[in-house]
Amino acid sequence: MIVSNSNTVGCQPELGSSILADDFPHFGKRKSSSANTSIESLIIFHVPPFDLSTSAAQFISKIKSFEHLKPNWDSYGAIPPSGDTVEKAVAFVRRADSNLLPVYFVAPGPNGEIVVEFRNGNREASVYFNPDGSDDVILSEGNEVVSEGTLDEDYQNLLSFINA
Amino acid sequence: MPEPINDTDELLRRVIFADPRYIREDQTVSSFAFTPRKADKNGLSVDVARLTTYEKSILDKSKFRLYAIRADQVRQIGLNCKHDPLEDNYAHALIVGKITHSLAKRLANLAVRVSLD
Repeated sequence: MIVSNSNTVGCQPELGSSILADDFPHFGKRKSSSANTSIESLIIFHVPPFDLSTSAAQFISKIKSFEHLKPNWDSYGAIPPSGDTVEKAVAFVRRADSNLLPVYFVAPGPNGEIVVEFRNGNREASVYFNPDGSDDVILSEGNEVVSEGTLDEDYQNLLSFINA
Repeated sequence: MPEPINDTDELLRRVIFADPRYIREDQTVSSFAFTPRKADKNGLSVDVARLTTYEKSILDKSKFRLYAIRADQVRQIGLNCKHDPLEDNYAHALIVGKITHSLAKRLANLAVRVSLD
């Protein structure tokens, strides 16, 4: 005998169902069985439409404008960021906004990088999207660097550091 | 002939003020102002304040802002500086060493805007 049981779970966004499944490994399909009974519990993830904040939308628009910069845009030979770098920075701002991380500053760098910065008092976080596709996260307090890593390693630290 | 740079020497960095910019709204400067370009093989260009004037160093007040950092602050974070006079700019110097994002950020946080108003 199979009994189906569906639940709907409203989650605060990390957009994309695969990310949700990874974030909640104990959810999803579960099966339990006894001698003559099998119960399958299916949890359906419901991601409500996520409204981008006005501020994040403005920063995204600014980041997108970096793609149209001309070579030597700063008159010292700066290289404009590539479309890939712009896309990564935009996706990150969306993700940060969904986690209520308020962007403070964005800028293109001289070598095709983009930085996205956050600030809370004297705490600062800088996320660099490098032209080779890598990223760096630097958390600092005053002039002391507290930690250095990558987005994969340090996103949760970034959240707790700035949203503390 | 290059001169020694003293710990108390002020080093001046010219920073573009056109949009997009390396300068935040509160007039602090982002790490990109101290990020070397691929062409900066020998180091990051600065001027030694003792050997020039703020007016000369900024070149064009409408396009640039000037930021100052002391030589000992540069040395304290593991970098160095050396006088590198050019034909048209005797005050020219270089901040040398591997300037990572993190060190560029520290330089930027230490830099103070020089007001010419």
